[in-house]
Amino acid sequence: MKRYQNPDIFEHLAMSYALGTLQGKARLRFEKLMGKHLYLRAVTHAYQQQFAPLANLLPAEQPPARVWNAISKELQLGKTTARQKSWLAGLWRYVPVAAVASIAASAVTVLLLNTGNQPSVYMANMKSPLQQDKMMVAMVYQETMEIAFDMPTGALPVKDDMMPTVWCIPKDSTQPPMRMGTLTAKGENRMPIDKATWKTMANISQFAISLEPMDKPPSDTPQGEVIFNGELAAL
Amino acid sequence: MELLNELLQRSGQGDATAFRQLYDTASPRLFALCKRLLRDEALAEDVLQEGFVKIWHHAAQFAASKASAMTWMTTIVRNQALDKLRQRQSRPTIAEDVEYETLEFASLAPEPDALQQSGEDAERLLHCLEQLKPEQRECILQAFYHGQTHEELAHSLAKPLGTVKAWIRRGLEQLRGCLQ
Repeated sequence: MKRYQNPDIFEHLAMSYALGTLQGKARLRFEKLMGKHLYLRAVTHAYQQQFAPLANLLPAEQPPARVWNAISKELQLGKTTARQKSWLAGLWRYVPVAAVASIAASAVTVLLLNTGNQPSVYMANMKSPLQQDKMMVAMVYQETMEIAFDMPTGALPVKDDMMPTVWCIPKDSTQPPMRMGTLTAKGENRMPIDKATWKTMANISQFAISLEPMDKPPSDTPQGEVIFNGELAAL
Repeated sequence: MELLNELLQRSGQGDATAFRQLYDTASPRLFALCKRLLRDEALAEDVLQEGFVKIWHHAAQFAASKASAMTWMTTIVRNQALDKLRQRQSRPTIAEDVEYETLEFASLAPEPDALQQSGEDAERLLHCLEQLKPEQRECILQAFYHGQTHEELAHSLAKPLGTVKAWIRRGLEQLRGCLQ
């Protein structure tokens, strides 16, 4: 199992899986491990996303009509269409035609304006500056407004007098680090965030975790040893 | 891109009309991918069907996903095709098929609309692929589009297995560095 905790090995496996060259038993074994470990899933998912746009380079080919007919029959879509109309179709019953047209126009404007906006997830793949085989993943989700941490067992040192503390390092180096909260060596590590913090993520370059002494009041800057750090990337 | 995302989200809420529009918009590229991977039109149709059934059943999970709709659907359909390739008793042959070896279809100077659909991620990926040695790039693209094993790549490129494995390993290492 240990080899799957080494980023050099598991990132290569994740890339091979995403590309398709990881085959046979090795592929099945990796799928089992992905089922257990969020960090493997996250890294593999990131590579699948990176490779997927290659499909757009293929010249499009219209599939025969029978494919849709078979899908529609299997999912019994003919029966559900009448019941589940689109949001636009539903509006017709409640508002005049002109209003629907203007709502639709606004929706299109909003959709266009949203292009290139802030992503909905950020990920920091953090490594230990001291022990290269140790890593953890921090995911920042807009959907649930939280930062979720995933790490192999034993990634965080268990020390009664020290608290693993999470920091966000701004891209602007004149700005001080932001203290986000503390982690526990055991159990789930999730931190709720507010809208302002979510917006700030666009200006964060790195996540870092330091060991802060318990017997001192929380400081605005890391005082203890940095045990993990890694760049934050938008997914 | 945004339109596809919206159609997929509405499909997740059980909107069959949106799902039909989603299929009409996305299926031609996904069908092309299935045909490349499976090299069998009937099998490609089966996989496209299975893929879209899966997309309908899992569309509700898309809202929490981090990918664009096209990327999300490509991953589902491609995994379905790779599973099908592995299930087959005899894998399709590729050796004599020149079209599949030249990969001209996957030009690294694609049409502007293809790039626009893929966004910045695709541009970065293409930039990184261009930095690779030609043989490394060829192996990686062959593996993506044709789902070939190391052994099949060695056969179709007429190179020793160890050489092909090394090309792919180094190619992926270099890509990893470039993409980060």
